[in-house]
Amino acid sequence: MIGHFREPMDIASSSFSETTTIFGGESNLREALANVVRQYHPALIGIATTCLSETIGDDLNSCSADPGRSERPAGAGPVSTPSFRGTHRTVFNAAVCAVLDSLAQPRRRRAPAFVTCCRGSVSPATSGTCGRDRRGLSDSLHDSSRHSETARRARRARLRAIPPAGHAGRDGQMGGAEATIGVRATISLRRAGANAPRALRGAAPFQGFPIGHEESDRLFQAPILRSAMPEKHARNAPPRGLLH
Amino acid sequence: MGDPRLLQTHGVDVVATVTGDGRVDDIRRMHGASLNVVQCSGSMAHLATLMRSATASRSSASPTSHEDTARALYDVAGLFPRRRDPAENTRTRPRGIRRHQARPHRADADLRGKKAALYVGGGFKAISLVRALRTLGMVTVLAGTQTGNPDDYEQLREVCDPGTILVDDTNPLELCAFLKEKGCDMFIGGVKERPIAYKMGLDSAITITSARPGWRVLSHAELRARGPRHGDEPRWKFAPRRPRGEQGYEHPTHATKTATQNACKLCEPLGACFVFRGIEGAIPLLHGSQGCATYIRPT
Repeated sequence: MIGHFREPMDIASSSFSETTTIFGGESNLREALANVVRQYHPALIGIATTCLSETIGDDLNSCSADPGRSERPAGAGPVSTPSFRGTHRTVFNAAVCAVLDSLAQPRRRRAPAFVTCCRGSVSPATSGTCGRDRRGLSDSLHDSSRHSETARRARRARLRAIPPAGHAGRDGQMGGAEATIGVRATISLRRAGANAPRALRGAAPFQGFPIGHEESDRLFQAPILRSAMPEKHARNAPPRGLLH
Repeated sequence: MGDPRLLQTHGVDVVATVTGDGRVDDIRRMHGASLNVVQCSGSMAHLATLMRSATASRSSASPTSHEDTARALYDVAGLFPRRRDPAENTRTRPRGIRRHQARPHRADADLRGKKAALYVGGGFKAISLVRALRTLGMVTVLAGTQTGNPDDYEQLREVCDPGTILVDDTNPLELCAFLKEKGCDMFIGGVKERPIAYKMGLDSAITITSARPGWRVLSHAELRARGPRHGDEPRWKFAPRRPRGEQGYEHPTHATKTATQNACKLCEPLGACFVFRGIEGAIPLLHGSQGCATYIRPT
């Protein structure tokens, strides 16, 4: 997962031991959450399971419903990720949904119209290139996760436990998205829970990837984007194929 | 010490060895022994404690260096006062020890006075390493173990200099803080701690598991070879240990590299971590063992 030398990549763990295998890991998780909050002061803790905790059958949702959690940072998940199933690609969308479930807030009045872009699992290099041809649409097209930014900005002389990059507060606004497109979404985004943006549950899949003029045009000409596109962008958007 | 011939050379009859090459017939005679010498604390201390009532005494040795071997031999000699006077033993230094005694080396001057930190699995490894580092003139400023018990820490406290930080079952963040605070020159740790040391620019991180298969010895030669002189290599100038300037040197030194490496490591927790990584201020938490959270980060 580390792309280069001195890239901060701290992943906390609930530190299973032999006894955990027998008695379950819920107390481990509670302790781990408290430790992570105390030491890292994160804005969000993304919880993912492993094969052992899935085999044990820990009830992680009950930990999330801990009344003491109100003062803690937002927790995303738990995402069910047993290693004996699938790959890192298959679970990507489930994790995106977990983040949206946790962070998406209802749309505020007078909020600008925008479209949420839920990408599937692509390499950071590819996702970083995505959107260079948006031609001014970047304000109205929000990525759900920007690990390309994290990777690009992470290299610093001074090591920081959590890299200062990635998708910031806009996630909170995703609930107000006019529409959601799933770019390279290999699994339906309809798995998102009740807290996810309303528009997300009707997400329109887009199988291409908006890199280069042709694919970008194809994306922006999609009906779902046309209806959500702010007027100024719609006016400026050239007809398909014009820039070939 | 693992070789019974070393004890036999000094007149101690070895009844049995409970190791990988132990023999059933020998082990049947174990109850007749008057002394247990424990070499590997993690696996054998428990057995020795069980046998304690039937035996005269117990000594512990972790002979990873010639000092430890010598100390163990003196300890054994001291437990048989009627057969051999320890003082006499001191005068007539065993031949085997002399052969392995540390000889002056041109790297020693570089190592002398340097600060070392170590965080290892068991207590005896830590104790041995503290002694070995002292022989080279190095100072151990931080020592810790993951599975050490109170007895181990009591022994560790005795061998360490006053002021040495002792940590138990610590975590990367805490280690980082102590390494910075103490300004360490060398870090000795396991495979999970190695990336921390490298990222911090500790130029001489030693991974015990890579020293030799099966943790046998981290010899002086290896310590010398990987010592601070190692840090003179040109590659470390691209990763300065400390930020230039007081407030930190924030200029990204290689800003455009975005790549996924080690793609062979594919599993679902990794995918979830990728997503969480794209959110500002987020940290992934894997509900599982430490290894789960370690090996998806390629080293």
